Amino acid sequence: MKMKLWRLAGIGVFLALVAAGFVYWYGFLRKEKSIEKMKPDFELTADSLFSVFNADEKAATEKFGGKTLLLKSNVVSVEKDEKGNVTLTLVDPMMGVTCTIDSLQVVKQKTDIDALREGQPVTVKGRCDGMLTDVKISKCMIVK
Amino acid sequence: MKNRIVWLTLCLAFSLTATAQNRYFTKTGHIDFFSHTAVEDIKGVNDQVTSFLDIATGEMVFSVLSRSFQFAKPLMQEHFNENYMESEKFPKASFEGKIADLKTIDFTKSGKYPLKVAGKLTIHGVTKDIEAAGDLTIDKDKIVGQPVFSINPEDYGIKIPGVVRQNFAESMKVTVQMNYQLYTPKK
Repeated sequence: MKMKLWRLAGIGVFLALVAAGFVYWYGFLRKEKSIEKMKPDFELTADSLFSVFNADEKAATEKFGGKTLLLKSNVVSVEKDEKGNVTLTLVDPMMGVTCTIDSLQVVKQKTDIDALREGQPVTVKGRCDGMLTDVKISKCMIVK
Repeated sequence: MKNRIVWLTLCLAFSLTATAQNRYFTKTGHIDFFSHTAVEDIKGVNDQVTSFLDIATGEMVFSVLSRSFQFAKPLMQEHFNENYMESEKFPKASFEGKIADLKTIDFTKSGKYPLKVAGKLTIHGVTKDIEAAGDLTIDKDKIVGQPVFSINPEDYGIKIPGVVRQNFAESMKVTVQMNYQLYTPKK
């Protein structure tokens, strides 16, 4: 009987430790899933994406907001900011689609980014954040 | 919807006044907010801010998407979007205001000027009058505006549960950096 109680207590302590470890990992150690490993929820052209947002921003935000998109388009411009992030503008300079490749991804894909030219077709994957004057895509990467 | 109308109106105004040399914009401005307590530091970074500046009138407008804020830990980002900002319900935050001391800035002369802005800040669907101070740096045809705001989340209806309130500073520092370029309309 005494042995059984000890065993139960041991199991209880073990489970509590596992739960505490999981909570610590989930809150403090867990890394964000990289965009390379994300499967696209939608595949479409940047023109179609902008058209959908332009027609009904609220419905488009509900459909695409927070989702991973695979977009095809021609490059309008490529700009690097002082933090090392690269912004690809697609469709139109003011009212189009803006894709931000963060500085860490820029380092990983330096050759591909350096090779980008205005007017060239490109495929990018990233997370849709919503629309301001343009549709904003963050955490982007170039897909070959 | 109101934000969208403001943005479209501004864009239209920019397009119609194609020859004007007093309009600047950026789509890659930065906004960071920072909270320091003994428990933890919380920092959110947004590098996709859209902003317009009219140096003739001093009008400054910027808008951000809540989802574009990045955090060091995924859990912070999840709590920020789902529990505090309620990003699905309130996807945008914006500021519409004016440079308060416009006459003290010589936009034809490169240099660093003290900046004061005043206007209306909308976060989480709540709009409040606000003032901010900072710097404005002019370098030929580039302008960098850096106002610093101080905000209390509760003023904007953001509810932070008592059990984690000690993790957040009462007042958060919001640092803005807009690297404006002269707006050149498409020909």
